Amino acid sequence: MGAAPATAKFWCDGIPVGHIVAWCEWIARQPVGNRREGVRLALIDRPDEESLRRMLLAPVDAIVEVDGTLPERETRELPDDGAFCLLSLTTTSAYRLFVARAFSLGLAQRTEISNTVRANIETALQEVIANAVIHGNLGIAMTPGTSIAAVAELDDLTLRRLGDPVLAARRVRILASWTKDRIEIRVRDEGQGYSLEMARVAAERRPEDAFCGRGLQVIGRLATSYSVESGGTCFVMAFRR
Amino acid sequence: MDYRRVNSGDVVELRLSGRFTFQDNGKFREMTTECMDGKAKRIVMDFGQMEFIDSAGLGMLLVARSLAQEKNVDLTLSGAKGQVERMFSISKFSTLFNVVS
Repeated sequence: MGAAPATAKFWCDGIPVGHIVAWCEWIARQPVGNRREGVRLALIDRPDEESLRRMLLAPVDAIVEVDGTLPERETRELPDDGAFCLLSLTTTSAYRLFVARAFSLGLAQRTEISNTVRANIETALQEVIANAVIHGNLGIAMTPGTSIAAVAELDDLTLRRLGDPVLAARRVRILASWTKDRIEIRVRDEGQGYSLEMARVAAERRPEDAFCGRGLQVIGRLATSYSVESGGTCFVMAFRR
Repeated sequence: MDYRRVNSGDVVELRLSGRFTFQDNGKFREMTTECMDGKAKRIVMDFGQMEFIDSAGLGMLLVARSLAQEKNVDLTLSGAKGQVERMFSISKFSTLFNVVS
């Protein structure tokens, strides 16, 4: 493990000084793996649409939501070299905000991809984030069927689980890295994981008019490849630039 | 997602806008229950102002389809463009719904 990030940049509107000191100490503890370059790290407190968008368009490499406590080792999985963008949010923020849109716009600014590629990334990323929040961090199983009662049940359960402080504080981490002709996006949640093979089989067997199970079909049409790692808690997909 | 309801006799037009995603279960339930109140014979969902839909949004439309069939209501999806049109195409919605441009 290397030294602390070489650069730390703060946007400190309305943040108490004590928090800033704690954040500086936290940044100093962050590992940066084998990276030769420093990491431009930003912390964001209770993000809204505007602050999230602004931060993703800012010249930083990693953006971490601060929610009372500071999560440990947020930067542990950074690529050894090359450009990247990491966003770490609580389940609540990942549910509440249009993260896929903001992230894809930030990525487009960093990589100068076409709007078609950006839109494909936004659509696929939306599916993966929804999966990480609902089925991963909130631990809600699939809800088959096509009734309004099933929608109501899913809505009630989602809101109830979001009210659980432990589940709400779980993280969704989105890490994008890129080369001149490829973008890879990894989305990690803190749920129980799942088998991609079983999900694929279930998706193939579902009736055409089923309420759930369409996400993998969408991702398969838009990404050049996809897979899961870490027992199904990390979804990896790639796009051509 | 936001919607505006326009009634014309037994036809209800729903003008949808914004983003229709997995966060919209509650609003979708409210909208669907409200417009399938037994008076409407035809519902037209206008997607002209909708900028984005995800697979959960598509799933909710299939729930609306199921409810419409149950209540003998004709459901039409109209005006989809851009990302929304592409999602309808990926999910072969033209084989499941009456989709008009």
